[in-house]
Amino acid sequence: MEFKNETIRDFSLEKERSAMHSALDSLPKSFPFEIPISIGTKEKISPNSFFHKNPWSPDLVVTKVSLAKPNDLEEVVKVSKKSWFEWKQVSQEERSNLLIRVADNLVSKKDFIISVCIWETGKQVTEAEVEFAEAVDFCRYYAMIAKEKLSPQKTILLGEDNFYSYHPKGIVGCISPWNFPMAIFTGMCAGPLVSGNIVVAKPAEETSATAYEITKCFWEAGIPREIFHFLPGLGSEIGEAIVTHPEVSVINFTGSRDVGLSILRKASIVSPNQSIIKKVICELGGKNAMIVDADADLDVAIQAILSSAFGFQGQKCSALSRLYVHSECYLKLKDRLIAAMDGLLIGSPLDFSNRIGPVINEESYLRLQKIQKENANFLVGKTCPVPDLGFYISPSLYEPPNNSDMWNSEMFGPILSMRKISSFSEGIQLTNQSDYALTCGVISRNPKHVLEAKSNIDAGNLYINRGITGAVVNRQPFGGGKLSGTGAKAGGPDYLYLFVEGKTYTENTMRQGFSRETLT
Amino acid sequence: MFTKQLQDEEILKIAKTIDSTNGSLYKRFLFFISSITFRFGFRYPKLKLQIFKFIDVLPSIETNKIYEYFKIYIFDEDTEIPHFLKTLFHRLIRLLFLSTLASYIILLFVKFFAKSFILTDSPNHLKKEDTFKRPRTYDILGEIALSPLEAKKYQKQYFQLIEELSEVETNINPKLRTNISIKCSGIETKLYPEAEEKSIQYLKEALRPILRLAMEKGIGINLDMEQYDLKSIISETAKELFREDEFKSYPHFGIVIQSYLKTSNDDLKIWKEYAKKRGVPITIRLVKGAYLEYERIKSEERGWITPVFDSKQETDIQFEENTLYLLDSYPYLRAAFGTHNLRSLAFVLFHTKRKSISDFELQMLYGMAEKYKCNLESMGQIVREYSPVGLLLPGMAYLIRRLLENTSNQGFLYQMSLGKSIHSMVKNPNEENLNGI
Repeated sequence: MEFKNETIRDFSLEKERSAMHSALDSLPKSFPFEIPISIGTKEKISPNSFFHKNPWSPDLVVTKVSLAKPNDLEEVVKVSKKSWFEWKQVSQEERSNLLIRVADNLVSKKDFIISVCIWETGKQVTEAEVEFAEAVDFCRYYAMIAKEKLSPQKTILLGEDNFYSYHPKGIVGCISPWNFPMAIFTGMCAGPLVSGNIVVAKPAEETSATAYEITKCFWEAGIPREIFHFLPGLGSEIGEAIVTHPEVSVINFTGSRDVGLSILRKASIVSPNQSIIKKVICELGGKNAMIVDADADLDVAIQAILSSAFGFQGQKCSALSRLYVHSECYLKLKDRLIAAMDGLLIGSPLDFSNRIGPVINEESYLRLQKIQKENANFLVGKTCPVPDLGFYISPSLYEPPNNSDMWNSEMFGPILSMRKISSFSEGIQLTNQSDYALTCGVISRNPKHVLEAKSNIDAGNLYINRGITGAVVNRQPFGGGKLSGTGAKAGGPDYLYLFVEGKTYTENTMRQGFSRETLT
Repeated sequence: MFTKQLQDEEILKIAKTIDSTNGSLYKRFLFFISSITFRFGFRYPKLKLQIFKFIDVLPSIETNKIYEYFKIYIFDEDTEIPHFLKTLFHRLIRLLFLSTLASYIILLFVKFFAKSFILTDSPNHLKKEDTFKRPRTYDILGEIALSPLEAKKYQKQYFQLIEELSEVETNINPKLRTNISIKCSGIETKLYPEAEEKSIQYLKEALRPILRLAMEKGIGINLDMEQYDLKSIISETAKELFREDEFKSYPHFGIVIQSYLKTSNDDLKIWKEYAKKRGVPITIRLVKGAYLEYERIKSEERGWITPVFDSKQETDIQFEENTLYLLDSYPYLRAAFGTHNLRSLAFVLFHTKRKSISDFELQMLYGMAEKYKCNLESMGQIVREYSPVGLLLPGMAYLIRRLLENTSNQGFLYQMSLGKSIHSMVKNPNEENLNGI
């Protein structure tokens, strides 16, 4: 089985563009999408619901999400326990094949799913395309890795048979974020499922419709509904319930640092009726840096900075927010960067020429506006103009003082800080002065510095002479250390080991001094 | 009718004339020197790679640091230079504190080299007499523009250039008409394949004033072709723009077709239909294409089947097919052939003669294949030079493309410099296919 990354569409073809446009245009008539709670084969609409508004025209409600409650989780656990035995017995081959079928289902609904995602998130179309491909990649990649890595290993000696095999851990609660509702949601569920676990998916409230459409692709491929449950709702309610439930074995979380750390705390408490130690997989934030060396190709640097800092409005954990530039090219880069920011078109993603869309919701919008206001004194460049309606935050560049909060806390918006460095090693030192260690970029043509960066920079993903976002499954396993997470590398060869337990069987085959061999 | 074999013999004869050694002693010397350089590049591929990487970084480093980088790129890396020589050289420089001097010498050397491919550093420095020596198509050097500001600056340089150039007489031989090549991604930054319709609008706005100004002076305009991503935007822009009222009757517009693209045959057909409808000819510059590696890398990244041919031979075959189609499309399409390949040149001359077409152009890059140009001129052919104008150091990316072209082991000039027999070099690409070469 050979893995190949899903093709990225060629949007220079008229038919691809018009297909995408008509898929996008056809959605609003079905708004709001009503998202049910799905427990096993039963679906229900709850009277308690959450309304998610469209980020570029907030008078439009895109999704009406039923809010699952702790008692829904109780039911899920009951249903799951009955069906798990059968699911565990399904061969690895078969489970991998199911996942391949999920990938095919996704591909067959590509335009529709991407459109739902765009209406929910305000993501630019080419970014959505790449994200969708990543979702498909996760399914195919994990299907292959499961077959390769999860088969039992034997060590047979003269008088002793040894078996080492992998077993699913049980119920995995997948609590996923809104910024990559296709890729991250799919990957977080596909991994545990292909290795034989039960999945309880809790999508982000803002992107429940996208997640629901993807979930349907899993069910339609033949993943039993009793094994893959869909519990939309609030983090503080159903999210919390999943984390603390005594029968949930693994919590697979991607999101903010505060929530992640609180999950780790809560999951460590063993309740009286609990017979497992919970495992928590956390993919948290980043405060990612880029060092631009004196000899950098500024054309490359500026393109890398623009896409990394402002792509999807900076709402990526891998987004660039700290820029360290060598004094020898500082002014030149700054001038060119500010001028280049001026060329970014801001507006709704329905117009494919726009580069910057709205941020996810009003809360984010107000929070980012506040940050912008507080740091207005350090502002050096800003993209204009911004449409009046919608949650638009203009990409902005700051030169904050060294002790500013801008260097430490994650902003999750199109906000970039830059600072002068007098040497490359100073850049490395500043880069490492962070609680986070997710992505990092180096733009340099000095082979010695590149080598220095590779060995000394703390980052899960280090990118040299390119942008720092857009990790591709298999090519760039993604995830970081320090407070960026527990180091799970999504889309990498080790990911599936997080959802299984190793078991050893050792059998003494010697009887009264003779072995199998001596008798044959 | 003629037989294939006869045809190839004729082509060989023409090729021999183009390649014949004559001209001044100085020109022969230049050809000899460049042959040695190309051969050197092939014999020491690791060194060649390091030198190119070094030239690439050169514009970004301070002059006094040049030697430091030279050492990192040339001496510290594994190349074909023997270890003792590297150490000896470096120690000598350090012992005598020569690194600053060495830096200057290296810079001078590279600048000297760059100068041979770049006409002049600014439109203001165009010498009047130079514009009469050979017909040119001027190109403003520079890589992509990254902001509206940079695009405006770039556009301004085109205005400056047009101001500097003299007015073209009305009844001039079209081959002598001054021409300008425009790189579209330089004058407009908002070119996005996914937003083609809007991109076309933006590009048209950026192009119109240049076109207008050029038209006033009777200067020809050619839109250069870039990477495959932009092909559709650039061609559609050209089609819409050249049909607008103020431009629809101007006969000196041109565009590029790249034979390495699998679509080049179809594209030519589309252009022919277009020119027929427009009623005024369009000049097509047929080239093989300059972004081969880029296209391969990009398509691998996206999981695409490459839009370009994998082998040089397939491109050569397509080039000849394109040539024949282009000549058959005369007078709707006016052909301009941009090539330094001896077989391609001879092929063109053979078929233009056979079809009695004299209104076509041969175009070559400034600073390359001087011997061919001279011989073609003495055969009565006019050669137009694609002449870049711009600063030497920022033009380094252009220089590297030229160097790569000159020293690539598939490149024609390089093959010639190896002393391969002209007979084998001018072989019909279709035949090579049969012989499995």
